[in-house]
Amino acid sequence: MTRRARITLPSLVLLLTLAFVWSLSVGAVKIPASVIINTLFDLDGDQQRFIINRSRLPRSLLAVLTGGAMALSGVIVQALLRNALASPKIIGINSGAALAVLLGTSLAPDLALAWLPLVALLGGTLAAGTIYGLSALRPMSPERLILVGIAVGLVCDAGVDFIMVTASTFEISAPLVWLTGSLWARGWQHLSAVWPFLSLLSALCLCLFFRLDLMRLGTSQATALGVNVRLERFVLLAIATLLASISVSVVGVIGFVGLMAPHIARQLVGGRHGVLLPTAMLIGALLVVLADATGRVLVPPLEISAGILTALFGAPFFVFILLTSRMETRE
Amino acid sequence: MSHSVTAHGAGKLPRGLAVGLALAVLFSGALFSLATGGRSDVGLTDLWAPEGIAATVIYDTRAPRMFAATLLGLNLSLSGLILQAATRNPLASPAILGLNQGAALGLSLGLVLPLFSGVPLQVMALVGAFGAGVVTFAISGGFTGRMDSLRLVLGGVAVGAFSYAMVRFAFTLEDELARSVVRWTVGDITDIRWPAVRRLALWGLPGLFAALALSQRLNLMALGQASAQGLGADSRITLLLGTLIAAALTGVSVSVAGPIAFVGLVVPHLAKLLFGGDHRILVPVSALLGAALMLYADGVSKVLTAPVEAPVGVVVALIGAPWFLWQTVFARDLS
Amino acid sequence: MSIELTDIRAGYGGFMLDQVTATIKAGELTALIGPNGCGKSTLLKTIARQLPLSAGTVRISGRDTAREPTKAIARQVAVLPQHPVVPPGISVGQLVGYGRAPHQNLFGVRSRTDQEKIEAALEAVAIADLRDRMVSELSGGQRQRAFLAMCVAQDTPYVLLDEPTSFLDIKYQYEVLELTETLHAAGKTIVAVLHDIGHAARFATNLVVMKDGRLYATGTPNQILTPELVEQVYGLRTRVYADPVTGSKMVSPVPNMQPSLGHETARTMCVGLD
Repeated sequence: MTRRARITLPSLVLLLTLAFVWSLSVGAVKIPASVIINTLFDLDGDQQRFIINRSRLPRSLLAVLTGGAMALSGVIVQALLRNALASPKIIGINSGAALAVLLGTSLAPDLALAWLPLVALLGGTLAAGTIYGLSALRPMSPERLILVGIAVGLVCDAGVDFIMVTASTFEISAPLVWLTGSLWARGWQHLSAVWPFLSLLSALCLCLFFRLDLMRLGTSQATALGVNVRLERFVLLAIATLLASISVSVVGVIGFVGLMAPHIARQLVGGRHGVLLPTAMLIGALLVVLADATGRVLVPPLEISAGILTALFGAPFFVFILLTSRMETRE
Repeated sequence: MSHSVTAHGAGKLPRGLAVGLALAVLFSGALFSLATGGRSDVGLTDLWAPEGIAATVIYDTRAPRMFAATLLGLNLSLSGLILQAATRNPLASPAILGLNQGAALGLSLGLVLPLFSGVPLQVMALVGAFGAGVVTFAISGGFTGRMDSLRLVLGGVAVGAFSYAMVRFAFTLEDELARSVVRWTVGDITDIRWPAVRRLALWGLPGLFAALALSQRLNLMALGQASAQGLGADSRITLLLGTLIAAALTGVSVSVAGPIAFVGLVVPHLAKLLFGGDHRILVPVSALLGAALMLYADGVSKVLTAPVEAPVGVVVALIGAPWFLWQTVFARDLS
Repeated sequence: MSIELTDIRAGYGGFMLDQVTATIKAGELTALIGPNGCGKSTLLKTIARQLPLSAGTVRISGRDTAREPTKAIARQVAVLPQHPVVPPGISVGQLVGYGRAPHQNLFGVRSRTDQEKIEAALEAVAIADLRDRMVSELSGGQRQRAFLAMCVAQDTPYVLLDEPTSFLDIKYQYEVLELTETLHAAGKTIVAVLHDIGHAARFATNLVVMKDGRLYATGTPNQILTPELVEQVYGLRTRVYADPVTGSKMVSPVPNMQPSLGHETARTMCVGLD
């Protein structure tokens, strides 16, 4: 581990902890940090404890988990497609989930809100599978995967638009709000449904750092170094798909995290996936926790969706880094 | 991207025949658009109706809509054609490079922020589209000389996604506008009347002449930057002029009808497939074909989900998106 | 111990290698030469199993590569691609370390041997001082040496080089070729696709000449490099003579004295500008 990584990783953990505590303290009711510490360690009890335990704690934990998952998914996608501009969006997860959710609600209007995550997960995975399958019709290359990904995304978007304008607004408003990328009203039940999968997949992903290092060298070089490229590409893409679509299924589309977090992490610690993966994961978690908390602070008691905030502040920042960083060399 | 699209091939049909064919397609599209609508009892026979409801329907509702569709098709397909030539990327189009979304963003800011209340909306849309184009080109390295095709597309997708997030945000600040935003963001020409048509014509027709004037430079761009420069056409200037014209055409279209995707992508491809790679013929032909496509889409939008109308943008997307997908999957070499 | 190709058919889409049968003997420095599109790079990629075979077999040290796991082949053959991907934010030391991947487990844990081989490779190509520099910041020549060091660290009996000198200045071209010669002297079997006949004649111990997807000739440069061969394969009239210092064969085109042809060319140029 380099010196930079030795400094960066602990500072990120510290920052994330601070952001986490801040996120617990802010909202329609402000709760001082001292109370939060008392509550977390079970020293005190009152109404504030209720808010923290029932609402903010699961929400912030979910932010950490999904933010980390989206960032890891982004690292995998960028390594496989060898392009710092790629993101889980490119493998169709966002558009697929949106189409599936709208299709589900318009075909079965009495579908319970509790089923939406499952429908979204199905949609995201199906879209990613379609993109993979269509790209595999011809010799697969990152270029083809990206273009097919964009095209499938556009087809899904066209379907979403069609449903949105032909269905009555009442039917689709609930799924739409639910899709905009917000942690509002997410609680323990959501957390308990996803944490085993997300933590397992994240751990698996962190273990596969060396495979990503090798895949990043391109198909020919990776093959020359003994990598079974087809198999490993499939496994890694499957992990990336699941990480991102499980996240989207509970918190909706929080854009730009999967794009920004890997990029910032690369600027901080370089390109080795052994340190890049944990760094990106911490940054992703930090971004979502901060976006969620900031959304609660700006115009209380109203909330601004975390997804809108990540785009609002994240994207210009991202463009800035992109313009100032060096161009990348492709195969 | 398609092997059958030659970059700079000779025209495959005689010039006169090509334009004549495109004109015929356009004219029948116009009739289709005029003949269809909410009142099925009003048809083409009422074109000569002196007065009454039928005349009102034809001349005050359907005719402006028909002209709007024509001009929108012209604007957007020319914009796509210019962008594809200027960036030497067959995937370039106003929607994919983020110009549509940028125009929508400029427009929303103009509507929402009091700071911009004095600025005409078309200007806001134009500035938005131009700004988005510049950022996308900068991301792809377009101003440093070496434009990477994939970066261009990915950069456009990112710029577009960002602009849309901002549009959504702008509309959450303003409750009244939020209701129509969904319909508006897919491109809708249901409520267009004569003033909007005049606005489209005021920008679109000069745009057509500018594109014709630029067509030889666009031909030279196909030879690559160095050769174009050697023949006295600085490719950076072509890129800048092209973006400016494309942004103006896209900006006014978006300000009237919302962002309509795919016309700018599909029509230039179709035109190159049919008529080869000479932009002096591609400019007029794309304009005609684009107008025809929009007219048919308008007609279909009135018929498809009758009595409710599907916005024309959705109809175009339902045609255009699968075409694009087919192209990416089966294209032999990807630029 | 050799690479045996039997009745190979392979290639992208329309273009195929056509029934190529050849033996590349161990211990040689073999250069693959031929005009553009003759299939020399395709042949190299087929040997490295980066392109699937349509028919025929490739045997490396007697073992059919189609039946070997990729990792087993990677312990036999190292490859330097024509356009290696430069990963962002990776140092030279890290890059060279990736060369040990075929000898490591799934997680890339380095053994003491790995560490020694990496050091030796950095020394062998004389880039030990560049160890901590980012690969993306290197000059073209340094970068090519870094990738060559990665091949060396892979510690394989066979090394395949796909146009290792393209896009390099003349100084770096010779540097890379001399390094290749050193590797050969250290006992490795090397197959290199070379663009320049002069380079091939000077550095290779064995030439494989290809034309239109077929094997055209094989032998030592001194045996087979004649004006007739060059004219038949490249369609160019040349003079072949010995370098006054090294004695290796040099090729230079015969000046074309026919005046009518010059006139024709001038007229074509006028038409082109019209």
